[in-house]
Amino acid sequence: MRQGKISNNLLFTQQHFDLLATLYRSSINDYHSARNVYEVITETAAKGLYIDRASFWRIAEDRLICQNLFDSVSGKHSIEKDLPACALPNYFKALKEGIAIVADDVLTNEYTKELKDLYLIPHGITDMLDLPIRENGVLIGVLCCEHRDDPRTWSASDLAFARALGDIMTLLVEQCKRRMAELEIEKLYAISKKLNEKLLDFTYIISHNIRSNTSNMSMIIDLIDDTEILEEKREYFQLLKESNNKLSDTIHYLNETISIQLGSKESKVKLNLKSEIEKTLLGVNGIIKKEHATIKIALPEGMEIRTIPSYFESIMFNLITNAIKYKSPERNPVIEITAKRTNSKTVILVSDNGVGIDLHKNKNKIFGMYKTFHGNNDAVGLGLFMTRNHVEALGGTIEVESEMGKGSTFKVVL
Amino acid sequence: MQQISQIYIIDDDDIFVFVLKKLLQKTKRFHDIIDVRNGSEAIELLTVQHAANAKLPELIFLDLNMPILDGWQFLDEVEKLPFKDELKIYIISSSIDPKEIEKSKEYSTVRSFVSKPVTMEWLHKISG
Repeated sequence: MRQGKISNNLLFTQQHFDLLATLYRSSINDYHSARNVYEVITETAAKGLYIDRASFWRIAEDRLICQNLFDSVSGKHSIEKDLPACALPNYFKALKEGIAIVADDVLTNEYTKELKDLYLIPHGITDMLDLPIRENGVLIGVLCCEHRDDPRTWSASDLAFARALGDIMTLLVEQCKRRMAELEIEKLYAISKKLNEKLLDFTYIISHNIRSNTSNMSMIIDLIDDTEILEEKREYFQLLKESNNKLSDTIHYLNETISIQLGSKESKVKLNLKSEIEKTLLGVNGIIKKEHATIKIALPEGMEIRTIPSYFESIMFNLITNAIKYKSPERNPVIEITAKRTNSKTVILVSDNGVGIDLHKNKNKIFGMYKTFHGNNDAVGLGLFMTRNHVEALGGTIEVESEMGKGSTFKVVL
Repeated sequence: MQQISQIYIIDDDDIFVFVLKKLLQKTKRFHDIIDVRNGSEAIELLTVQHAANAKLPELIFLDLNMPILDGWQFLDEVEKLPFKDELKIYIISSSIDPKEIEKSKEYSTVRSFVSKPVTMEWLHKISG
């Protein structure tokens, strides 16, 4: 056997030395998951020890559960059936107490012969080198190196190589777990940061929209206070009533928003997309007729969507009525509704030939509260804000593309 | 008593505009009160007045949250006007967002940021 290049007395063969060096130089970034670590370790074991099978098993209370088996004859990874622990007391004792089970003849070895009928004979295994894997001092698994056919005497280099593989695997899996935990924390941090920003936005919306009404009211009260003329007082009082109604509306919508964001008590159900949209259209039939609008629906017959019916209806209702409300003065409204499935999401497009929105100026505000763009007097600036809230509560997104004078396309991804 | 010749109110809230006009009239210092519903109309009006060599408004009361051209966009447009230094703008908004108050300081044309409601005392102060 050729010895290593560092010293003639080196324990490792050159092959073992090189394979281990590759592993020791690898970084956690080279592996996508613990599973991937198992695959690399079992493949390296099979290659370094010239064996047919290498596997890693996790020890559960009453059984051994195979995590990965590499078969070097087929070159494939698979999973072996569980093995019951109760049939293997000596094998377990050896794993718990030692650093390796070195069995040159598995059928007579004191610790491995228990596996004879259950495992060794069915798989034709003749020699085994099994390494206990510990976490925090406690036995949690076993790395099994299994040789077939001709009798094999494991060498000192084989043992040291396999033991080193076991240790590297422990290290890498630990790092992998830590990385996963870090990613999870980062994800949670991003979510809570986003929620916090949303909350802050919401606070400003509330303060702004409530304040605009209450400040009007306090100015009106000052005016009432300042005049002795009854007729003038009456006029101001009328304004006060109007302001109060607006304030009530604002609070009503804010309440609505909160209940949407808190999540609906209704749960998602499977709906047929086409019949659901047709149902919404029935509800807006009056305005469609009045405005001479044409609605073109091109939806696949059997397409289904999992959604909360009332939210979905509200989204479609708002998009369709908006498309009609902001029609071009030069032509009758034509609205097209299409849908497709991409990446397990449903993409619904609602396009119109209306006045369009100047997205260059209004990009950041279109889905905000009390934002109107057309100087249209009956625009209250709540529709798209509520629509966005409904879409987000369903876990979706909404975007818009528009050209002034040509029309807009709203894209809802659910 | 000092008199203000002309003032613009740029705001889309009808009730506020009505009430503010009443208050302005009560001070007896403001005579020519012009109200427009958004920044775009105001820019147009300013440009026309300047082109006709008419006197520019002495004061501009500007709301932030408006359709078409909002308060910030109006201020950005004002930056491009050759006569911007002749304008005295007061932002009058329901906002109490410190970020917006801070942002208003970046515009040399903005005299101050006032949170609604507007009081008679304040109107007397700025016209005095």
